[in-house]
Amino acid sequence: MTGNFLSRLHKILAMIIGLQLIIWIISGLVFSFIDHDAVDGKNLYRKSNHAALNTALDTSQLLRQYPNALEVTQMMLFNRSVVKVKSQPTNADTKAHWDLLDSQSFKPIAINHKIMVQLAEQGYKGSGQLQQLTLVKRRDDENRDFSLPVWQLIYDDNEESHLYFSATSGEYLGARTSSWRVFDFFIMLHFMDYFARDDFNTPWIIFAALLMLFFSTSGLLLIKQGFSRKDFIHLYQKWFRKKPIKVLLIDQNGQEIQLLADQGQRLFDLLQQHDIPVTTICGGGGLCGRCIVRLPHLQGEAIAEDKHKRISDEQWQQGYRLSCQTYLTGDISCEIKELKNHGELILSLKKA
Amino acid sequence: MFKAYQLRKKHKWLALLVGWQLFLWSISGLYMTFVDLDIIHGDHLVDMPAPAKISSATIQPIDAELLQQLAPIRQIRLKSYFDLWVYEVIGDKTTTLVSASSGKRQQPLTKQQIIQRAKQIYTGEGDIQSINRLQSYPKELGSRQKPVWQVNFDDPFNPSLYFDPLSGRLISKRSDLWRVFDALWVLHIMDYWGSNQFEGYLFRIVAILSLFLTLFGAGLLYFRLKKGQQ
Repeated sequence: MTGNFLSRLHKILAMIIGLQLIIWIISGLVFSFIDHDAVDGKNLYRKSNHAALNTALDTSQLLRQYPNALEVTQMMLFNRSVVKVKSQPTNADTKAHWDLLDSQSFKPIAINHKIMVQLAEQGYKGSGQLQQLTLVKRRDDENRDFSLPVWQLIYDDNEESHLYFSATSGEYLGARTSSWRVFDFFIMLHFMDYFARDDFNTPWIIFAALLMLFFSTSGLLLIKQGFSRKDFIHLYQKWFRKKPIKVLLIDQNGQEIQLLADQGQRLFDLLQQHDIPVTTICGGGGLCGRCIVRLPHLQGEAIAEDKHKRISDEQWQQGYRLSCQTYLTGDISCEIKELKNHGELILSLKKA
Repeated sequence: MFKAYQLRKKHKWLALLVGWQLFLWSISGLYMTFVDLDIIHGDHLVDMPAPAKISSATIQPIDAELLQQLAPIRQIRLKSYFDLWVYEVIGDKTTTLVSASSGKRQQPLTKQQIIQRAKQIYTGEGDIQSINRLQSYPKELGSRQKPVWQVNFDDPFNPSLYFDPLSGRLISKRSDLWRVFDALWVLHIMDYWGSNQFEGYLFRIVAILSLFLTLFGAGLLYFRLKKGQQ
């Protein structure tokens, strides 16, 4: 695989998947920075201090009335002994259903407005006031994890908390806070699941993830290609050995200009630093072959790797090199020339 | 603003710094999206029997003396696991399992009873390869200090079923597909050293650098598209 092919592939993938990659990274950062206790609504509600059970229920009587019972739970609702019964559905397609009964009379107890206010007053530990109490029977984004119907309690605390209780048993189901809403929004973006918000196995995210793997793999291969040992030597020399290199530039009119370079610096970077316009498309990747210079005195003082296909053997002999592949290791003079056979100006020397 | 060559340099060095993690993110992300979550969870490994109705003939009340020992009690739940009926007596801190057929504390099931449950629900072809009573949950189950039966099957992806020693409840199921998912998840959230603060910071630093990497890349793309048109 040639550098050009990889580079073009990387560019095309960037156009297709780049925006989603930015979304993935930003949402990942949101997940890392957000307060997870606030997302869960932790410490917003503590179960009320119901009394302890004083007697165990005799189930045989109850079972006569509820012969399809699968599960029986005896518990206290404040000071009242109640029992929750899960029964087998009457036909196979429906879900099991729950009844809350008084444990003496076995009469159904409705979790009404009054009981909910009592539960809320005792259990809510947030800093707001109860604003609204609604019985919700319709599925929405916030209650999608709970079995309906539910009681929704809206508070005016700083998280704009909504507390949810089962309308059949009065049990606390969970809270939805503004942090949760932010979290949920970014989950939707991260999973690319714009509908159900809990499915990350959709065909389009698999396709996107596959493209992303190609994208990152081509990027890794380009790293391997884009770095030379000299880059690291340059870095070392720049930091630890400050003695600069003299570079003498001669333009087409014979005018001279002297620049100071760091040890091991790329000629390309030096020219860019001094606002000497270098033709380039790839930005110094050694790919486009536009940043050609002529180095008449090459012996040992500058090392140019990689003979680009835009430079002929004859030109190579004459000292034509890509400036982005030329590492300066000693004082050097450099002739800036127009390459007639390409019909383009390679470098024109202008003082900034 | 930046020039193309400056963007390229920044893009290149950032890629060298965090490119490995972008690769790990994409390969773990691909696995997690590609393999269906229900299969990861092993839902296809077992076929659970429908829950049984309570028959009052076989249900005994809880022993009065035991009930007193367990006070204060918050809830008493009567339910079945497979064909075993139990009371779950929920106190302030602990839950005690009481046999519904004797009214006394539930005694641990025998190895034979666990094998019978495993064979009953397992949908795969393979035989039981090994069965171990572990003193605490293994790491893949969260390392809790509670005993557990582990039943391993001789099948592709090495499925394991975990049962509670007292109730015989199916606690969980694991297979190699899950184990790979778990390992990749660690790579995805960069939880390399178990849960402490450090990797939280590492994740944030790498993610922020990656964000700059992609933004510089977007800048480079802009220059290339602009110049490509000329």
